Amino acid sequence: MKNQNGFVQLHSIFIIIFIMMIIFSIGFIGAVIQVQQEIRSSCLKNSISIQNDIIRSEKILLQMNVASTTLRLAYYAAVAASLFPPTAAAGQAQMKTVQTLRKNLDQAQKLLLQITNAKAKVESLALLANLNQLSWQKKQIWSFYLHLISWVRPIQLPKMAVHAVGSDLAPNYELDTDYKHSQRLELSWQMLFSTNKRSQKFLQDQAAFSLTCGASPERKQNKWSIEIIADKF
Amino acid sequence: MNQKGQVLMEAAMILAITIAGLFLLLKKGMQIPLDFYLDDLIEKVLICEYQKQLDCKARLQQKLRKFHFQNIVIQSNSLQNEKSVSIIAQSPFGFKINKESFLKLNLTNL
Repeated sequence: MKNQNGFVQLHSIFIIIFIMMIIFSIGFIGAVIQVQQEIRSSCLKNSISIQNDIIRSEKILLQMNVASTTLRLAYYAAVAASLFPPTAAAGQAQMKTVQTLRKNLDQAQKLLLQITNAKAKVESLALLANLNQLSWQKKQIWSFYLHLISWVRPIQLPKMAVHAVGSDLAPNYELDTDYKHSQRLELSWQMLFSTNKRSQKFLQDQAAFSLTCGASPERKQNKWSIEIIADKF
Repeated sequence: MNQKGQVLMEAAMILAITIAGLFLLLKKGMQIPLDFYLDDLIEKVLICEYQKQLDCKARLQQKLRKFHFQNIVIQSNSLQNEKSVSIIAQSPFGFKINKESFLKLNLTNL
């Protein structure tokens, strides 16, 4: 601008834009806090629900141990009976019956494991997709003056933390020693932002937000509970 | 008063009104993120209590003090699966806040 009036006008525009930027930034911080809250809340509720389903299946699987032990003992008794001529025929028949039952139990155990693990994986991935979508939607609103990178990534996806004792048919199952760690569902959300090239003429700013959320199981004296994973308050 | 003096007076008045307006706008504007921040803090306290951590309320008080809140009263209640926290305080911008929030999570009756 050549004259003084033009200079004042330019100056006023600059000040107005600067004030607008400050107001937008305050609004943006508010929006980020809100997104953070929504992500944490949804993550916790869904993680708890997923852990609940896994624990329910683990309880059933561990309860099946009674049946698997009984059938194993019955099988050994039948094998012993089949070795003595007077009870050999009855023993053989008993062996066949028990073995069929053991096969059925083995299938039920494996099916329960597979279904629970698959369900937990699908639900966890669906949660991950939902949270990413949520963070992406909110991100769009601010793209006119901010450059945003936001993503939710899994740190640990849950699975049934059990293992078979021995390689027998219809084995007993027990909890892994590190079940808390291997069964936990833990997600991490991060958002990095900086003012975009156009806005950097007026305000240069950059920062990062992050949170961790999830749930893990806890078993004390046969009583199950769920522990929340969250950032230290 | 000559013309220059009148212009100066008008300019000073407009400047004062503009600054006061901006100040009020910022003050009001700060209420919104502060409100979100408080909601977030309350939720964090509730989660902290579910995690059975100690001194959750004390930590909340400390954080509020950091933001120059005064006359802080924090109350928390716990029923079977439900926990609630309420805060009454005087904000640094002069307004009184009264917030209550609850969270219901089933962590034990499995």
